[in-house]
Amino acid sequence: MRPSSPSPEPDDARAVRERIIGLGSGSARKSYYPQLKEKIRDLEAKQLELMDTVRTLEERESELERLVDEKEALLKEVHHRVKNNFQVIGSLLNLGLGLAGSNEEAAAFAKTKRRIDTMAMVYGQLLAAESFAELELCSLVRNVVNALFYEAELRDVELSYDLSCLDLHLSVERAIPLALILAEAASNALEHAFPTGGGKLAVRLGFANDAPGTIRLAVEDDGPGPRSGGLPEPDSSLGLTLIEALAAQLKALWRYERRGEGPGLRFVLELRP
Amino acid sequence: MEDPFVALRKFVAPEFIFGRGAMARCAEYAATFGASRPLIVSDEGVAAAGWAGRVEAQLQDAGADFARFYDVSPNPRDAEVMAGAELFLRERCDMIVAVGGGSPMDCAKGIGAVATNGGHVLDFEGVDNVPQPMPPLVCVPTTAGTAADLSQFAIILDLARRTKIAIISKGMVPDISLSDPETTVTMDAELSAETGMDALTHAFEAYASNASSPVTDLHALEAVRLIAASLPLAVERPDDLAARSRMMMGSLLAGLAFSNASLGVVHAMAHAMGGLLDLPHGLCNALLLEHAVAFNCPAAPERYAALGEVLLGRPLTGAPADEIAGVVGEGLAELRRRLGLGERVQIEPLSRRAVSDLAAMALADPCVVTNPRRPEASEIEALYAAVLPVA
Ligand SMILES: [Fe+2]
Repeated sequence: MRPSSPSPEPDDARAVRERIIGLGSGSARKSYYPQLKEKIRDLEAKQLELMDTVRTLEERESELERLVDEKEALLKEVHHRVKNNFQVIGSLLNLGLGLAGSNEEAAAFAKTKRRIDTMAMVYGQLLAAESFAELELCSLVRNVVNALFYEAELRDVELSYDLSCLDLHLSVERAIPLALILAEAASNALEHAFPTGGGKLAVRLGFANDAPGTIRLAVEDDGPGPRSGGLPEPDSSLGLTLIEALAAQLKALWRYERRGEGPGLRFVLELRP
Repeated sequence: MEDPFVALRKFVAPEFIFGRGAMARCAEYAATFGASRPLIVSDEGVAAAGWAGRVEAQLQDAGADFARFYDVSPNPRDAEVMAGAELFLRERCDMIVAVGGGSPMDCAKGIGAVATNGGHVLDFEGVDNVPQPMPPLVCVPTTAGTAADLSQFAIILDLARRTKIAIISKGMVPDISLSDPETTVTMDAELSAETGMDALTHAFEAYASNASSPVTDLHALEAVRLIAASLPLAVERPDDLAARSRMMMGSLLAGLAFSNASLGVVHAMAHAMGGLLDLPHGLCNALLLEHAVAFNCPAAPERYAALGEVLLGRPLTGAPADEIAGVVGEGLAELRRRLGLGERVQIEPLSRRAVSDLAAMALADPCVVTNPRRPEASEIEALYAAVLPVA
């Protein structure tokens, strides 16, 4: 409860009375106009502020676009240089090939050069696609096998593709080992499976029916198979050692198997998602 | 004293539409004020009488969306105002339509002040303490008494202190009053009598106020004439639209008078007493008025003589102050008895301490500053003792 207070002082009372009857300062009848003006001023200020923000954002966006362009150009330049370096290494190996003392030495140079060429091709595809993060898998497979096939000059061998993985992309880190593995498998077949100079070479790519998400890559020939009668083992050559190491890097499984019907050998690589 | 015709004065009044059918203009004014979502403030009694529903239907027919706040007590409480303001803001309302007597209208004024100014409704206590004007306020009065639809006053019950606070500000004047006498026919005899005596007290106090002016005098005296002639009829024949209309006009004129000349000790005391005891405002006034006349008359006998002449229709000018006080007081008592309002408040006796607290609160009320005679605390206590049992 309010404490007892004496009746208001006459002066105070006079002031209160003045205000009640509307003659005190600030006792005007209500008007919206000053508030409206103030509100409009506020809104105008806010609008200017927003326009400023939009301008800043636009500037920042074009700055970011410029930066992205610059980065892309730099990346392209780097890939170019990598590709050029591979070509230089290829030339050096060619030189070594010419100077090789024995057939064995020459063959070693040739194989190394082929591996370098495969890597250079991956970078070539990267540059052609102008996308530096990922590679389209089907074109990669075709490019790798085609290059080896035409170099082998086996005119009577029929090459076929069964690639059913449209729009499948791999990062550069995974594309290079995969390309190298494929190149080893295809080279093996081209080198050993067609002693008569004729036959069939098939490359298949697709999702495994029995393991969802797993990509299965197969290279199969209809040749006589290994002379020893067994299947190629990981440690039996540098090529297979390389496949073993690269597959481990990809956490992929690989194997050689006999084709179910007739002669021939099938190389299978299974890449889990 | 300065010549009242020379003295600098101002007269503040809202727009008003008076007469049968005034209420139907509600939707039109919602559109005029550009409102897209009015808040209807009313109370259960007015809703039960159908008047709030009538306003809702009109807004609905006009395609206006609205929200409603009907949780208003007979003496509107600060917490109710805050709840209403919260609803107003939450529902994104942009106008208030108050439908009812003084309670919903005062509550609506508080809601409006809080909606634009923020803070608590009790922060606006006193004179000219509402800085920003409230949203457009349309009032549809359904009693003939409080004139909150015309005045710059809003009276809110401060529940913690158990007293009524007065918010007096030009910003509390509504934008328009739609005074439709038909809405008053649903009042029962008691409510008609109490609100009518409130209106009569407004006219008396405004006329006797030391802030009266020629314009307020004009309204106050005509109000007394209309109320004296029509109040008993309106109470005795509730459906008499002629009497109801005269009462409503009397209330309107008294409202214009007191909003500009302010009030006096009766309202100061009624605010304190109504707050503490949760009594009807009009009843407090009806019981106190004749005693206040006796107290004030020596300070302004010619004013009370003029009031008495209009009230009783017999000459009093020039008579001695005590005779004027006696005649006018007896006339008021007779009216009170005819209206069946009793002599005193029937409650358990109050302690002397409680009465002195009441007197202190009455003395702190802004209405006391315009009373023709400056009362001492002991004089206020004596006036209370005339209407309240004291232990
Ligand atoms: Fe009143």
